[in-house]
Amino acid sequence: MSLQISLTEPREVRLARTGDRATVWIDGVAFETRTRPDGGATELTIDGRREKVWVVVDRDTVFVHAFGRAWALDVVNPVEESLREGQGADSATAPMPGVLVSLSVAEGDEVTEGQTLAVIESMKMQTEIKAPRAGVVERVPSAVGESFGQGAPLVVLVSEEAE
Amino acid sequence: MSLPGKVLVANRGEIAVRIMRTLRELGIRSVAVYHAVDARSRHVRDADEAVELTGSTPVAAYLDAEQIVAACVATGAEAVHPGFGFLSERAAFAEAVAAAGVTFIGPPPDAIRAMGDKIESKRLAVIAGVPTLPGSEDALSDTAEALREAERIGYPVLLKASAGGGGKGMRIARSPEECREAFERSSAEAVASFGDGRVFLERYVDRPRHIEIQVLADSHGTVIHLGERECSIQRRYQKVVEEAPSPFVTPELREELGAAAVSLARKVGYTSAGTVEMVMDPDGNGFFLEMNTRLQVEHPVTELVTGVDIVAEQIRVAAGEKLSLTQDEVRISGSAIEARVYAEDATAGFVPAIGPLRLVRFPSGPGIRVDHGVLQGDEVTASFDPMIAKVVGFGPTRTDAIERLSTALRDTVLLGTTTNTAFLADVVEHPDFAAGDTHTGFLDEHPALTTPTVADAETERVLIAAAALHSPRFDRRFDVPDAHSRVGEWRP
Amino acid sequence: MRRIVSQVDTSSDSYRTNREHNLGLRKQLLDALYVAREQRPQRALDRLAEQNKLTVRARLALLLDPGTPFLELSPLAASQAYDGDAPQGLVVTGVGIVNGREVMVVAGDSSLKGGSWYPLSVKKTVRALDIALENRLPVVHLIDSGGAFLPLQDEIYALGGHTFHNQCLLSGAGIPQVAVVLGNCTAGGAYLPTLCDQSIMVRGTGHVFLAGPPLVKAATGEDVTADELGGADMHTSVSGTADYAVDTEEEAIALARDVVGTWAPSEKARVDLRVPEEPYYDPAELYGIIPDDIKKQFDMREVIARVVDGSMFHEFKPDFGDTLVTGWAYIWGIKVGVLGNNGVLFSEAANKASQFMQLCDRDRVPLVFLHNVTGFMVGKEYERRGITKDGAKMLMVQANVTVPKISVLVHSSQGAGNYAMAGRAWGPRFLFSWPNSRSATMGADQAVKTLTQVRVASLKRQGREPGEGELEQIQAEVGEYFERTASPFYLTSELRDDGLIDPTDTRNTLGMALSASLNAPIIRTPGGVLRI
Repeated sequence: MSLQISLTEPREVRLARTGDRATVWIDGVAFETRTRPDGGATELTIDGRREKVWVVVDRDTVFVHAFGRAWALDVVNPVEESLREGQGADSATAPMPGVLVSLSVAEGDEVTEGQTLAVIESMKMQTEIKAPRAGVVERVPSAVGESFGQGAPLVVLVSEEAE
Repeated sequence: MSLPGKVLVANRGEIAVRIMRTLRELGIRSVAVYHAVDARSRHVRDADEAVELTGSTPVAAYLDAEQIVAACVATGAEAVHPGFGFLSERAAFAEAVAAAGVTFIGPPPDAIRAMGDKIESKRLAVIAGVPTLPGSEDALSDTAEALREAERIGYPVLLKASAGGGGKGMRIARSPEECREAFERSSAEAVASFGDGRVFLERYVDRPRHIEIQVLADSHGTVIHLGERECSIQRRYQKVVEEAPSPFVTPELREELGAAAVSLARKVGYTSAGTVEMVMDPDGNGFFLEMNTRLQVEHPVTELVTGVDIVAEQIRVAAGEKLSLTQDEVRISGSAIEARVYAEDATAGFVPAIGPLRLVRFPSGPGIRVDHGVLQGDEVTASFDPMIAKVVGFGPTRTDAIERLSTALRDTVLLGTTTNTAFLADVVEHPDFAAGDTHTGFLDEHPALTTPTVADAETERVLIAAAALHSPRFDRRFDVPDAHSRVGEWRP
Repeated sequence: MRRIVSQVDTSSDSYRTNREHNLGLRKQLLDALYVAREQRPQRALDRLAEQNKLTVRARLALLLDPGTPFLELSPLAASQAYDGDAPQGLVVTGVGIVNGREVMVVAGDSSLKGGSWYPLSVKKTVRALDIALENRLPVVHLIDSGGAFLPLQDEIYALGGHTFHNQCLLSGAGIPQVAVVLGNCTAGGAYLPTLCDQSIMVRGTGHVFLAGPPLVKAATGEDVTADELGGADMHTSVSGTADYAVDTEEEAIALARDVVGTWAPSEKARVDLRVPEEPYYDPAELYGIIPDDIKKQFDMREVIARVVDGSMFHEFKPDFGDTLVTGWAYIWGIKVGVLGNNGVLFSEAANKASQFMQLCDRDRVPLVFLHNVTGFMVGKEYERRGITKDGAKMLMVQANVTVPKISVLVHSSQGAGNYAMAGRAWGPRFLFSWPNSRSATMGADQAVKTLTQVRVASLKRQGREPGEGELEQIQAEVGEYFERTASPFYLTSELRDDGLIDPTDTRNTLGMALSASLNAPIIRTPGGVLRI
């Protein structure tokens, strides 16, 4: 697995670790490292050079205090990123057959990803239908009160190629 | 008269913590007040008792004089220390406290009121013989008057809102065109910010230094000064690095400025600690700016070079005691420099930052003083001023102080949000700062200090490796078995 | 343990001659590996690129943890078969590290013949799954095969079933499997991913169906696209035959790594471990130690000294049965019992071996067999002393030990000696050969003599004497047959071992194999150790 870690620009990083020893590849170049706890800090040896670093991870950001200042690095899994890009279909479809209870958008409306577009009722349960991606509503095939089958498009967005 | 047995600290953060330390030293019990957002904060933990305040916003809670007076009564606190900010310069609060039979640790309400008004305070300064900047006597009535006055005083001029402070409502004009626009903008801003549209105008000093004199006065007629502080390193008109003594001020000048400040304090019947702020031109001419009728943020540098605990003096004075020293006993020795650590991005116009303080490590060692009010895990929010700590370096010489402060700042670890520690270290390590070539335009003159630091390849490598080795994305559960890692990438 | 004192004279003529000979064999091995792994016509590579497919090596690089070893198995499978149409058997197998976990990888190579399964491909796959089963190694399948190579279906059909049977047995034994479908899985092949616990399909290129669109059209007249019939989205959202649909091979392999991360950690057998140490003697000296002639002898201790940790060895019964060296050592920190031939097996040597193997079995010490054996000693004297009986004891003990056995054909491995030293038929967990080794029922010279005698006797019974040149022809024929079929390059092509290895890779190979073998528990059957 490789991660993209950016201080200013993304670097491809791979890691093989055993105990306190690890090989870190940064853009394909291997560096041998060793870590040792030093109070709340870490003594990091990389290619024979020793540095005391303080590190805190907050979700996808790693904060490092080293060389007398604090730095923030972003960590991204490129595969996850491309999976995320892969999402975002052109329409919000019905997860099950049901009846359209309400619509909160109309043709031409701009929507944001995750915005509630409609509410459907099925099996005595109401479910919110959310926008699969940001975009513009191309058409709304069903009217409130109408029923539909599973997988039916409820709100269709203008396709990304067309935009 | 004796010292109070219990004092309520009507403040939060590092200053509340700092005041409580002196209270402990003096054997006085402390009462903290807090809004719910601060319930687990350090000033509450450090206090012997704590009273919760409510308010529409957290700040409103700390500004609620009625609740605070009630808290004094409820806890039996005999005195209130207001710290700085919040209610510290509100005469009405001082009066309300006194009306409830509680001692206000600070100057008399009249002095607060007199010095709180820029025009009134300037008038009193003139009477007391403190030099003032040539400027409009009264608030400017309209644009035409502003232009006339500017012509009389000579450009460049500074337009200031009467009720302003901290740089708000201030504008420099170098020409009539600029003056016209500055007047209109300042008036509008003053109305919006302070509900008081009065604006006046004064001579603008180029490359000015900010020099201020710390005064102490008791109710027995003793008024002394503890020398000056220089606070020329400012960003957005707010001080970030302060030092005592000023490398620019000679003993003679110190005497002269000190005498003027003492005279003004006497003039207004001042007691407790106060600060006379001046702007000083490159020739050493000081002009009165304002008098702050409270403890200053940067008071630690004066404490370090004089050995005086200013908060303790305030408490004694409030209790009717005499100051613990006379002017003759004041000795300035060594050099102290304070840096204000803020959650802000120095490389993006000092925009305040918010976020959690996930890792907090303050430095310690000879000649290092850190005043702070945070605990690891605290959240920096937009509710309050984003100052996290004051780091002070102290040593026999200014060079020692600089070295200690820069090391201390480099060793200040605050992770989880953006802070200005590296910027502060860069400032005090700058050769022009070391040379004492400081003025309020220092940062504008050295834009490199506010440009993002570019890491060299070796530094980046260490940081990336540190991030990789700590990122949970590289799951430790999936570490390579020892023997296989020793074999390495053997794939014949 | 003591360091072995090497007697090798690296300045001797024989050392130099041996070295030259063995480096020549090494080059032959590396050339063969290059042909098997890398040498592909450009159009084959272009075709992969057109299909948005990575090469099998690129897929492995994505799958395996960086900086970790990969013990590839039988890379020269089928290298001397099918006119070279199926290099590496068009499948790569081996033990590697995925998310810190030792796994068996079975990865199809569709660069030629659409990755069709040849008989030896199937044999290689079945062997990999046998190893997985015996050593409790989870399996990651990277599937990209056009299915059985039909012109040879008779050799494939029954054997091929073992693949799926093994998958079921793995599941029954609680050993997890994940499949990544990177190509078509048609007919029987459809069961390969489906019998895994979890499977991942790549949209567009991955398909799973019992019959492809043309066959469906022929059978029922139905017109259907491959995606409709067995595409990633259909199988993951409609049929449930597969579990995850992704857009790219990179995502698929990353997901497979995540799936491996969901498995329960391995509970490795408890054996004696210590911190590894490089051998004191340079393994490269092996090239000068191994003789240039299969009939020449050498001291196996010189080999042990260049394989084991610190060249440290505790020799058992050093003064008894000295044609077999037995003793304890560590390889990559794992304690092993080493049995190495120093000549033909006599009764004493066989009995020492039996006693030693029982000791190792009791103490949970895996066994490593280093072969250089022409067989058991023959002759009246030895038969009277019970050589056959003592050999039978050695076979009996060896067959029934519960610790892992790993064999390396270092030089000669012939006759019953091969059996006694845990040859292929005796179920070692892994068996590797050196390129200089020979293995057959007997040596080529003996075979020529024996078979020539038989032929001459037969002619004589017919009342004939062998004519001019006839004797030479018989000798040449027999000699050629034995030379060819006893060659390690032939044997490895036929999957008679788990791979031909460079002598200097022996230490890593054994370390990886031993570590892999410890994934299965060692359950000893009670019994005392006999001083045989």
